[in-house]
Amino acid sequence: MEKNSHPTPTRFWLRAAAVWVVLSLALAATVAGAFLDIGAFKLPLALAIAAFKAGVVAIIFMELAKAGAGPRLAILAGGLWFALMIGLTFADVATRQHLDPAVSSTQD
Amino acid sequence: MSSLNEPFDTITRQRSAAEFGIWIFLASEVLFFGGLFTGYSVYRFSYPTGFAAAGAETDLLIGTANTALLLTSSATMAVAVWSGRAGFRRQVLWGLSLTALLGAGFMVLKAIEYYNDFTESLIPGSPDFPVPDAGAQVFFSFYWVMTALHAVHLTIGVGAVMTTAIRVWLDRFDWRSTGLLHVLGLYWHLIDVIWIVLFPLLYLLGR
Repeated sequence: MEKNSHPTPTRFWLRAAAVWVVLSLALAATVAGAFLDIGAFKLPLALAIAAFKAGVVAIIFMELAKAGAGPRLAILAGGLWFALMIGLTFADVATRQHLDPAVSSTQD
Repeated sequence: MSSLNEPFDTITRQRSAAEFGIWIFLASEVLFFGGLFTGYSVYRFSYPTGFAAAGAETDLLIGTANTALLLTSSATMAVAVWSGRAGFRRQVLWGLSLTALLGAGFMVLKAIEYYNDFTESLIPGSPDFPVPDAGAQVFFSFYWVMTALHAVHLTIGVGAVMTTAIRVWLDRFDWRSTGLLHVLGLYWHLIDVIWIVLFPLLYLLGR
């Protein structure tokens, strides 16, 4: 355990602390970003920072980089179905047109 | 101390099965919360001003503090998992205890926030609801359901982390070679990830 190539408790704490600093900076950035006067870019910015934080947690803390084929398939399936749910929902909601009842009734 | 269980021939197999199992569960959790995220998105798309006005009523200070607590708890949880593999018993106990403590701290702050929300009548359907814009009450419906569902998950997490800490302390199971610490960690980190997404949706609107 004394050799450099072996993991030590200090090394684990330091590694976690380094990731924690990155996550905390991202948190500060997202709160600051909410007060910026950037109008429509607020939401994309906030979601991009959230995705960055979630990615850091997933890759380093959840060890996604080291995960085998099984876990990767599970994540892919969850992500795919969620994307389908959002995508198909907004394919409807975002493209609806409210027709004037008087106009649509004359089309028969 | 039991480590290898039926029907597995090797501990490696058992560990990868446990890991695969929790990932399938986490994927189902993504869809579980995903339905709420989808509903939230649809109503936010329909009522952008109402959502912004209502979002400005949430407690940004407590929300940010709670995000910081959860991010920190993920770091301490990671130390517990890494230390478990290396066999550092004392670090595992420190990591798990700090994680449970930070999780409990989150719940205390959340309880204070809920109490404040309650006294400010930020409850959908309340006659004293302070925001008149259309969609504002819908926002708070999502706020209550999403945060409450998250809190239920966190409560289960704190209980599981505390139970595991006690079982490591008493050497009740083989925490070095089984995948239990890793599986517990994955559940904990997912609760953190869900909150990371909830935070901008519920606390950063209309600032």
